[in-house]
Order: sequence, then C-alpha cells, then structure tokens
Amino acid sequence: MQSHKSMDKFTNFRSIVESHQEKVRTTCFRYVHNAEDADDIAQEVFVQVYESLTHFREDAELSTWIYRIAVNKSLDFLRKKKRKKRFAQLTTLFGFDEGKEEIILPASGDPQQDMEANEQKHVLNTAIERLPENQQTVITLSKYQGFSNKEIADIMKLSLSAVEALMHRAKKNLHKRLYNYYEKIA
Amino acid sequence: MNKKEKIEQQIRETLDQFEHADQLPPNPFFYTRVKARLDERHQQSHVFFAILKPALLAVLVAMNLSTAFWYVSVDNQVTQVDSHQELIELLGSDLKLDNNQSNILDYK
Repeated sequence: MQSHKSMDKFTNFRSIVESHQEKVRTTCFRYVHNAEDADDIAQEVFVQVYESLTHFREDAELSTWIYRIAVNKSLDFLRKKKRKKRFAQLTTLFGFDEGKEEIILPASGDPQQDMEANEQKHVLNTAIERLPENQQTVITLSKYQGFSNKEIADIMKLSLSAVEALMHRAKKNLHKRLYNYYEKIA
Repeated sequence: MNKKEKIEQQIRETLDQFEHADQLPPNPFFYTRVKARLDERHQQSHVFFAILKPALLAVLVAMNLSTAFWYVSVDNQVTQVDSHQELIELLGSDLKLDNNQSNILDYK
C-alpha cells in the first residue's frame, strides 16, 4: 500500500516536472543569466515541490506555487551572490564577468544586426536587474514569461491593483534607466 | 530626427527584445537530476537517522541505569524507626521544627 502510494507520488511528480520544467528553468534564467545556475535553482524548486506535494490538490494552485518558489529561490540566489560580491571585489577589479551568458538566438544572417540585438538584450537585462526586486519580478514574469497580471498577483501574493501599479512603476523606471543610458552614450 | 527622438527609437528597439527572448534549450536529463538530488537527500537523512537512533538508544539506556542506581542507593538510606515517638522526632528534624512545634505531629 505504502509503495503503491509512493509510486503514485513519483508518477505524479514526474508529470509535474515534465510539464513545468521549461518555464521554471527559463524563469530562473531570466534572473540569474546563467544556464547552469538556472538549472541548479530549478532542480531545487522541484525538490521542494516533491517534499510538499501532498498539500496540493488543485493544479492551478500548484503551478502558481511552483513559480512562486522559482521566483523566491532566484531572488535568494541573487541576494547571496550580491553578498559574496561585496566580499570579493577583486573579481570586478580584474574585470571578470561571473559567467553571465545570454541565450543565443538563431543568427539572422546579418552579423551587424545580431551584434546590435545582443547589445540591446544586454542593456535591457542590465536595466531590469537594477530595478527594485518586486518591479523586476513583475516585468520578468509579464514580458518574458507571458504571465497575466492576475497570475502574477497570485504568484506574488498581491492584489491585482497592486500588480498593475507595480507594473506601471516598473515600466516607467525601465524607460527612465534606458533613456539615461542612451543619453549618456549619445 | 532630433536627439530625443533618436533615444526614444533606441529604447523602443531595446524593449522589442522582450519579443525575441528565446526559451532555454531543453535539458533531457533534468528529471533524472532532480530524482538524483531527491535520492541523495533521502540517503543523507537515512544516514543521519542511522547514527541518531543508536545514540538516542544509548542515552535512554544510560538514563534508565542512572535512575535505577539512584533508586537503589536511596532505598538503602531509608532510616528504620522502631517506635511512634522516634518517627515523630525524625520527621520533626527533617521538617526542621523546633521542640515546641514538634508536638503538632503528635495527633494522639
């Protein structure tokens, strides 16, 4: 009986991992910008999901919860990284870029255009990274991951109006940062 | 195109990158790695309890033995009294009653 139950749990768990892994991995990647770190965080997300699987019955509740863990774990990772950075200023002194990587998009055939696109992606990611955490989260979940405001509100445990206000501020701040950047290099 | 318009154009192009963001390439070993991580945690907790169980058992046995030892040694120290008067005096001294108060135990 026990083994039958645990087998059921594993089968159920496997289908959860298979249906959510890509979105969870990408969500983590949007925060950490490193595929290995993103995979590592995403694996931790599913370990936590497995350990608390029995508490969830409804699929909608479960998926919201999974993305909430993914966001929190990614932010925790960034906080730890920032703390480490403060104690290891030497790396920046020597100009190392801590394994930051972009997903390589299929080449358009125009190297100049590809280079510009990569540069724009880098500028965009840097501007997003410098937003306050909650604004960074609404922008990432909405613009990159395609979640609706209602879904974001569920993931962040906020009201819909709070998410809308946050989104408005995030867009405004993002625009301001990009404007300052392009004004400086113009 | 003035400077402000040019910057706005660059911002629009940069924000367009949201639309071109790709997904991470699939990782076929993802589930296997999650499963390995779970197994490893399970194993670690087994090892932890394998050490903890005998340690707890040893503590329990030690507590039992010391309690039994204490019980036996206390039992040997019990003073035998032969008469009622002796018992009253003994209790009086245990309760630190002075001579005037010791008669409160003499209810006869």
